[in-house]
Amino acid sequence: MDTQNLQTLDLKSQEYFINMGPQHPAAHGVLRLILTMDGEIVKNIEPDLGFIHRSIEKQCEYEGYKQIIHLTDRLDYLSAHINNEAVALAIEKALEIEVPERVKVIRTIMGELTRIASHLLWWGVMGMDVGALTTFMYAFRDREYINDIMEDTTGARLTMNYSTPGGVMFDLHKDFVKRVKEFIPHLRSVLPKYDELLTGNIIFIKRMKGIGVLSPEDAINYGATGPVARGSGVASDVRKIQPYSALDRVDFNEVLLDGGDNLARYNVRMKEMYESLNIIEQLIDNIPDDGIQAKTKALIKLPKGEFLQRVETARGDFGVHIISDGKKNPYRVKFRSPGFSNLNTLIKLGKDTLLGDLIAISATMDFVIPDIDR
Amino acid sequence: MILTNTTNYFAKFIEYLSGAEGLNLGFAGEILAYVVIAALYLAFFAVAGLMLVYMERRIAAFFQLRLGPNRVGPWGLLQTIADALKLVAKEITGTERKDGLLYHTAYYLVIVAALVSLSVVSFAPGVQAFNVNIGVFFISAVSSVGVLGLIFGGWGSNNKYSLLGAMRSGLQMISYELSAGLAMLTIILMVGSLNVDSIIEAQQSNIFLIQGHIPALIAFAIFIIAGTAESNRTPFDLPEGEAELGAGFHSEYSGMGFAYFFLAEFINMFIIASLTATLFLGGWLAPFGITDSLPWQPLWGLIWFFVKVLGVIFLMMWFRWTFPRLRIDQLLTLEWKYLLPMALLNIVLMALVVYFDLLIKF
Amino acid sequence: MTYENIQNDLAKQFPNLSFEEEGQQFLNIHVSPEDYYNLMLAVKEMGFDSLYSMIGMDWGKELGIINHLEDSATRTMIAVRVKIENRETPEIETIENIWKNAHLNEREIFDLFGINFKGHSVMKRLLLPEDWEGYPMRKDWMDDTKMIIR
Repeated sequence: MDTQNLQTLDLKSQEYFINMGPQHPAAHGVLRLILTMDGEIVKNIEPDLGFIHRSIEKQCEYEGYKQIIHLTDRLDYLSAHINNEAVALAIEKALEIEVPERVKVIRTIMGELTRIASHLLWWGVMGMDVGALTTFMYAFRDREYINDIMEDTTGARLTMNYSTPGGVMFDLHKDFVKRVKEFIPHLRSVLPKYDELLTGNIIFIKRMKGIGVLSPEDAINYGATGPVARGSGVASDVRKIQPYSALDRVDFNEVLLDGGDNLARYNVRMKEMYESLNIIEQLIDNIPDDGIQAKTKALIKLPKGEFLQRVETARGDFGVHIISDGKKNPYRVKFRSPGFSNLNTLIKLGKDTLLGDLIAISATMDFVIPDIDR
Repeated sequence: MILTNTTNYFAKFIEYLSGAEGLNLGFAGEILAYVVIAALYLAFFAVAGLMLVYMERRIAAFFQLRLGPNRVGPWGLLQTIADALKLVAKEITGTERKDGLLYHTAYYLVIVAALVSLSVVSFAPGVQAFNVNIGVFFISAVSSVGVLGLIFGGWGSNNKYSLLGAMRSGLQMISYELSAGLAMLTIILMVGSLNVDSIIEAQQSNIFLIQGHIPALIAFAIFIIAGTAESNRTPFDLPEGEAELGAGFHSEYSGMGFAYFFLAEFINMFIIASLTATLFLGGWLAPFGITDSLPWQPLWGLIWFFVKVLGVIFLMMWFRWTFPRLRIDQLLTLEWKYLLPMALLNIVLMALVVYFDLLIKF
Repeated sequence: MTYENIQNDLAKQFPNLSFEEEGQQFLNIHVSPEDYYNLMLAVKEMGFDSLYSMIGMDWGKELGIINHLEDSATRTMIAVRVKIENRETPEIETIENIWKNAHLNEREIFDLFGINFKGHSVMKRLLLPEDWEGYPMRKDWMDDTKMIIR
């Protein structure tokens, strides 16, 4: 063999494309990711959005101000009430209406109940994504309590349409306080067991710890908000920055954890459920009794200008920009959705990971695709 | 002792059809006897598969605080028959450019592997179709044919995801066969023979799990883990349960093709459970050594055997509905870095225990 | 940092800016398309490390972008507005290298308004299919089959 001219063969494995298609059992909605893979390692992610794009922003330009609220709870349907509250607050800020205290307290309680429901569903689907199929059933069973409470008062289980500019649509059901007071101790007793089911399991810990680490500078640069940013130590809770409704008179902690890996984001959401229970407990006992609707004109026209209202949904920082030119329809409405920026983070975190890790990372990001596609 | 004067009922049946005292049909009688026995096993295969699927659905429902199938038939017992009829009526579609030979051979291979392994299992004294002297090793060897079936299915489907799933599954199965085989070897050290009957005979006084105390317990744990991985169940069901793979290597199969894969998975689980029961728990022997005193031997043997097998199957189903699944590299790390060295050391330990006669016998 | 400080610092570097605070919630900075990229660099230097949102606008005669920027330490928020005259082939530089949050936002503005961002890594449509014609969020976009206006 002629050893002088021996060249080392450059063994390059070929990269191939895999489609994590719009229908897949890790049901986060219709998200299509085009992955470039090298063996089992993901090299590049390109999201292909638009499967549930309903042009809500364009449609808002043709509707009156009282009607655009009904479009917003189809955005992030798991935090439907908080989205409605955002638009109602933006309009009230523009018109400088003072809402009754009862309205503020009701809106906050409903918002926190929605947050708990959203986090429970996230927990169930998270377990299902990594393989523990029983968590799905437990989470939905507890979510049914919240859905029943909501249905008594607002008439709907998912898309509540409850806030209006100036107040809320209906008064609370007569059993509302009693049922919420029964629900809180029940959830407090089962949440530690649920946590133990997953975090007590070494298989789960090995799939979560140290995977998908997001540094704080990256979190700010990519615009991540909500539990994604709080898991990396970035303080980004809108309820503390600009308190709205009745949140300025309750006492709760903002859950901040270091680490930035999957386990930190998981723990942030589990602890947030306890904080929400604390908020509800502080408010449920003395709901003031001064009416449910402030006086507004029948046809609302905002003054010229630009108005921004930020709220904290279960996913992060949701902003409503209303740009008005004095007419009865808004000139431009823009919804700044938290999932859009968190998707940016996924593109970065997913590089050079295994495929199984990508599934686990996207489960902790908690996407709701209608929020991203609008 | 029971075993020395037990007749093999199948052998008697073959004798009856072909031999001098019975119908005396000669060679044709022998072939007919084989066909009847095979049909019997096929029927058992089908019924056991259906019952295991029903059991899985009910147990899963009870773990998840719901009811499970309870409409079709009394307590929902006929549910799986309804499902099977539905699957039979479906068209076996395939992908456009599939490799026809591999695609259609795949599901036959897994069925063949499962059925042939079933023939060595000893259900009761005298109820064993194939009494070879390499009993348990035969099962381990034949299950490799099943792996071939998976890989054919993945390649022949002409689908990237099926191929990924088949590759992962093949890798997993051949890795864990090593640990399973070594755990089996640990028990063989106590017996000195691979024959299924000898193994059960050696457990007359008390079961191997107690006889071989520490090394046998370790081998039991290793065998359960490796067995769960062999039949592709959670926590090792990465090839078929992963979010992006859909159903892994059998995602392009429908109708009877899918039914075969599905049934074969449950029968594999049954075989692993019967091996566990035979090697560690005493097969069809009654507990506390009262086997001799019971009348109607084969019937009682069957009852004890099925009680033990169903207990192990319940354990495997419990795993499935509680644990998350392991990633592929964690799975392989578990096997090659932890289970395999532990199994090898365990063999040495068991050899020492047997040599110095430290077994617990009473 | 207060709005006066920001105004003074920036007015020294870029003489063609105009500021507006009346009737708006935040300090609005109007910048021309030529100074856009440099202004963004300067704003990032001043400590605004979080791009909150990018809003594409159609002002009737021109197209425009409004960027909201936030300082995560002091929670000050400003808005930077730019207007692009050319409606046929609107173009502007990308700020993807400064704030990574702009990556998907600019794709969406290109998709719905038609503004081409020079230097973007993946300048393709995001929400609409690849072969869609037209830019739907513009005010003069009319489609008889898909729009029903009462």
